[in-house]
Amino acid sequence: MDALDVLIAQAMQARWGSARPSPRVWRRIARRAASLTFSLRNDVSTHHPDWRPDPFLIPFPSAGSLLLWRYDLLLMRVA
Amino acid sequence: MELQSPDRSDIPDGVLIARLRRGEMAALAELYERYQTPIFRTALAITRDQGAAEDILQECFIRLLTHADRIRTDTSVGPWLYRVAINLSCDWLHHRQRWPNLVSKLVGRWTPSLRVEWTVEEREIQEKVREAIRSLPLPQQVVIVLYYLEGLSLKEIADILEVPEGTVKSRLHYGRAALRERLAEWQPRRGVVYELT
Repeated sequence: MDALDVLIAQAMQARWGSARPSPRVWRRIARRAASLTFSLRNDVSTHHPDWRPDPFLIPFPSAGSLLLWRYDLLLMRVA
Repeated sequence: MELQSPDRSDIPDGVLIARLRRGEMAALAELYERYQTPIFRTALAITRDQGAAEDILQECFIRLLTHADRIRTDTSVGPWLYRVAINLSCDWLHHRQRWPNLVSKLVGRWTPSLRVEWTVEEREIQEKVREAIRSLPLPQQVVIVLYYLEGLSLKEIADILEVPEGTVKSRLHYGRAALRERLAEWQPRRGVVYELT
């Protein structure tokens, strides 16, 4: 280690050697982690072997699409 | 990898990662306690912006949580955290070069030095050295931060950056050579003579 090494190390240590993050960083992490673990767990639950879709879930994004589907069936029968 | 966690706790990082996978937030808190300072310091020395360094620190630990399933449990998590922090810091710098933020620039400039016992002249020289480091190519800056600020070995830096040890050595060599040249140019003007050989 020569004089230049000492100079570089001193310059960096003097400025950032004692730098510490603010305590609010951990609070922000904890908040985001709490919301993330909730959504991650929900996601994981769908992979469980006992998981079944909600029986009341209608596989149509809107009532309109349901009517169109029925209309399509009607046309098929007529044909 | 020999890089040890700064904390003296006996629980290995791998055990804490395994706990984190099970959703134990206490494990995340423990890892944060171990690594917050070196990761923050590294991000701060690269970005030179307190707010950015804190955001990067936060993002590192959020990624640790979301990527826990993919992180190795047989080694220290330190190199992984350093790698993420360095990548985020470099991304931040690239972004800032395109969208310079005057306010954060001023805040960064006025982040106070935590040691006050340096003389005015010493502080001026140190500032000049930091300016000279900042003018180096980013890969050289990163190696200098990890080597001189974090005190990591060439092998540890090579593991963090995922490059051969020779590459780290070369970046350090060229970085030091450029610094020596720039500081030698500056010295005669200031009338201060430092033997840098």
